[in-house]
Amino acid sequence: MVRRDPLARLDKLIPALYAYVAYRLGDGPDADDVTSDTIERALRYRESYDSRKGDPMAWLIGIARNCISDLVSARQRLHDPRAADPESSPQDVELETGRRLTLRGAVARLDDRERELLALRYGADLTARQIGAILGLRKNAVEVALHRALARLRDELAREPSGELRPSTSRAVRF
Amino acid sequence: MSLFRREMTEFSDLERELRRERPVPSSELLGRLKRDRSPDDRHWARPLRARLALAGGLTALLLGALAVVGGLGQAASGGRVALEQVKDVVSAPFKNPKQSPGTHGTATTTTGAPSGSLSSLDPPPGTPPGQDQYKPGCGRGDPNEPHTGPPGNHNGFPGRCPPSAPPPVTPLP
Repeated sequence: MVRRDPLARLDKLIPALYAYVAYRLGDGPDADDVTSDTIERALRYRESYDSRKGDPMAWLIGIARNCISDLVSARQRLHDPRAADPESSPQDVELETGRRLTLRGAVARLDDRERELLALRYGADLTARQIGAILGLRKNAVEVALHRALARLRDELAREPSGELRPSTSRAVRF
Repeated sequence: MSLFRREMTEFSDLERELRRERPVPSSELLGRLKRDRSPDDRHWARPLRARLALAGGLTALLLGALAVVGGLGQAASGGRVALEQVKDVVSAPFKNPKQSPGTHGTATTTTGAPSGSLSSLDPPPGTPPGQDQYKPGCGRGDPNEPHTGPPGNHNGFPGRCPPSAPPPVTPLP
C-alpha cells in the first residue's frame, strides 16, 4: 500500500490551520503557539494518518482541537485569570488592547460552539459534511447551527456603536 | 429548504467578510514551520514517481549485471530443463497403451537399430516402460548376468527380456 503524506502541501495547510486557530483563540501569540504545536504533533504522528478517515485538513483540525483543549486546561491549572472563562479570553484580549471593533472581535464574543463552527467553516474552509464528521453531527444539523451562528454574529455586530465593518471591506455589512 | 437557502443568502455578505478577514499567519511563523520539518521528511517528500523510477533503475541495473555473467541464459536454460522434466513426469502416466506400436521404444529408434526389427522390440501392449527397461540382467538381480547392453545390442535376447525366463544359475568363480 502506498502511504500518502498528509503534510505534503504544508504551504496550503498552514494558513487554513492558523485561520481556524485564530478564529477560536484570537489572533496573537496563542494562535502562533497552537499552530506550531499542531504542526509539530502532526509531523511526529503522521505515520498514523489514515486517508480513509478524512483529508489532511480534517486530520490537522483534530490535532489542533486537542492542542487548544490542552492550552485551556493548562491555563486553568495555573489559575490564569484568562482561563476562568475560556470563552471570554479573546474578548478580554480585544478589550485590553483597545482595538476597535472588527469582524474578528465580534467573532470573539460568540460562544465557544459558535466560534468553533465559524472557525471550521470560514477559517479552515471545510464543508458542512467535513465539519459534521469532526463534530459528530449530520450535515443538516451543521448547516442549521452555522445559520444560527451567523445570525448571532450579525447581532453582535449590530450592537456596536460603529455598526459596520472595517472600511477595508469593499461591501460593508448593513444592519 | 428554499426558505433556508434564502436565509443563508442573507448572510452571503457576512460570509464573504469572514473569508476576507480570515487571520493570516505571519511570514515569520510560516517560515519557521516550514524550516522545522523533521529530517526524516525526505522520504515523505520524495514524490511517488521518483521512488518508482529509483526502484525500476535498480532492477534494471541488477538484470544488466546478471546478463553480463550469463545469469539470464543460465536461468532460461534451467527453466527450460525444469519445464521438460515436469512435462515428462506429467505426460508419462497418461500415455495411451493402445497407441500404434511404432510410437513406443523411442530409445531404440534413435540408436540406429534396424528398422525391420522395431516392431519386434516393442513391449506387449499395456506394459509400463518401467518394468522392462533399464534393469541389469533383465531384472533378475543377478550381478553376474550380462547386461543387455545399450539399445540395439541385445546380447542374444530377442530385443526384449523374456517375460518368464527362469533366472539363470551362474556359478561364481
